[in-house]
Amino acid sequence: MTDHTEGRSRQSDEIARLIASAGPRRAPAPQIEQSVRAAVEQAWISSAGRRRGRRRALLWLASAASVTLMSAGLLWFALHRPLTSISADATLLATRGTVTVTAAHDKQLIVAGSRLPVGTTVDTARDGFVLMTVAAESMRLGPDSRLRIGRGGHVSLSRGRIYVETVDRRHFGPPLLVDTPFGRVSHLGTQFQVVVSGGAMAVSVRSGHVRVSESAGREQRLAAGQEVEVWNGGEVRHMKVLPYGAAWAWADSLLPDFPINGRPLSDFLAWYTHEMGLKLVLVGPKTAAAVRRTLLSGSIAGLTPGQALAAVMASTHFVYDQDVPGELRIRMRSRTVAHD
Amino acid sequence: MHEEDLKLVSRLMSRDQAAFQEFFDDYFPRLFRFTLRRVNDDQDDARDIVQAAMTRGVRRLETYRGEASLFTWLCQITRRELFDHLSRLARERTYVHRLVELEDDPENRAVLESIPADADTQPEVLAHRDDLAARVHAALDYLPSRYAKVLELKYLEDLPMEAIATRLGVSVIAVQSLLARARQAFRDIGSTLLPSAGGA
Repeated sequence: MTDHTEGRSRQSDEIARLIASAGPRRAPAPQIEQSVRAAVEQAWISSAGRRRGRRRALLWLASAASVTLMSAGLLWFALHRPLTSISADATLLATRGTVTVTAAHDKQLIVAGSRLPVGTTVDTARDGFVLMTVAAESMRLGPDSRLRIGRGGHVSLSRGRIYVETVDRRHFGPPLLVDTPFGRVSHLGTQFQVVVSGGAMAVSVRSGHVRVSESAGREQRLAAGQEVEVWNGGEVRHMKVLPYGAAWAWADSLLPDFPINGRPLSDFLAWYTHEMGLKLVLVGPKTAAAVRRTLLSGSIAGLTPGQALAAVMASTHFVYDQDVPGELRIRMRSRTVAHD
Repeated sequence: MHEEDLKLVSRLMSRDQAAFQEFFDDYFPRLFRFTLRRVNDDQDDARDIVQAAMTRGVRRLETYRGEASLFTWLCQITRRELFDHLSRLARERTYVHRLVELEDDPENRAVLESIPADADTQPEVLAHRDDLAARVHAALDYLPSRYAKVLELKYLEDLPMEAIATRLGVSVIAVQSLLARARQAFRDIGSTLLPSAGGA
């Protein structure tokens, strides 16, 4: 054996000794990993949506500039073709109450962070709520519900209620489809809920648009503030729905985690009002700038939306009220100075 | 350039769910350990800081240029979150571990952050011997994850080459090559954090 070879062998022995004596690296506790995964995945989903939207807008401008070189068909293809394949798997982000998953005929209790492969059925009891992603879309499953994860972004709701928040799916590929015994619901970037109960399906749109394809073959498009009920016998009823209030309360009770640590108050308020379907009103000429300058610390994990709002606002120099329906009004405390 | 990291970031920006799993499974444990060493082993603090850092990271993916490894880039974000956190708690210097000082020393950081996937450079030696296990773990965390994995399979789990090949889904020859590069990278990092492992 040459000196060089012996030297390398000694080094390998030393590396082996070091690694063996150090033992395995410490793994984060599963509950910590799951909670962080859920929060980071939510942030990734929302930011990926905004990023792709911006990129597509730029592509559109570029296409428009050279439109004389393109046929209408090519332009349509550029706008509608899938940019990437999206996994149809689901991830469970959080649960409350009793939730059971059935995969491959085995029922088991599930924990946050679980992957839910195609074919999985999720059942919630009367106290059960689920926050999950399906094909990279944010979805909430309400009490007394049954949802099956299908292929290609399909989910089937046989009973109960789901709330879906998506980005504009034209930018990403096939839309997430919600199948029910009464028809199919698809969307183009929206917040909506579907309720299957008592011989009818109700679809309510909080923002954006959805398309409802009834089992009978009829199709209709709903905009924000519209609700439709499709009954067993084919009867269809149209109603109006406010973007806030009791109709959405169940979904608002299980919000995705929003890490506030180090972020401006303006981010939290934008998130809160978006989630609750409210309009943010900043009262006073200097409030908007002051809200952007106010940095938050701590965490609102585990709090209800109302508790989170109260806790965050109590730590700032601002007060809020919801005296006007549909609005969250923010103003500086009377003794607050502009540079706070 | 860190081409593999750039590909992963590109996939993340394309909203590839598998890429997110890969990203999180690879980087979260390493960042968590990176942070734990800096917060006196406080798991709650580490969780908050890593969550904030990774959240910030996925929101700013378009700013990653591949000049440093993705782990290094995430460590930089984590350091800023850590600094903010420590500033808020007003206890900055009370529990900063010697190892952390060593890792965060600008000179050592330059060495650690310059380790590419196939590095063959030898950084200068710094001799510090306390807390050996923590240093070994830190060194493994700084390695590309497949290097750390193959070293652990070989020297910690004591698996034969064939079993490692099966575990990694590659050929035995590929494992031998990977192991050689992993040992070299470990020596490069080890000469900074683990003097007894480095040097020819």
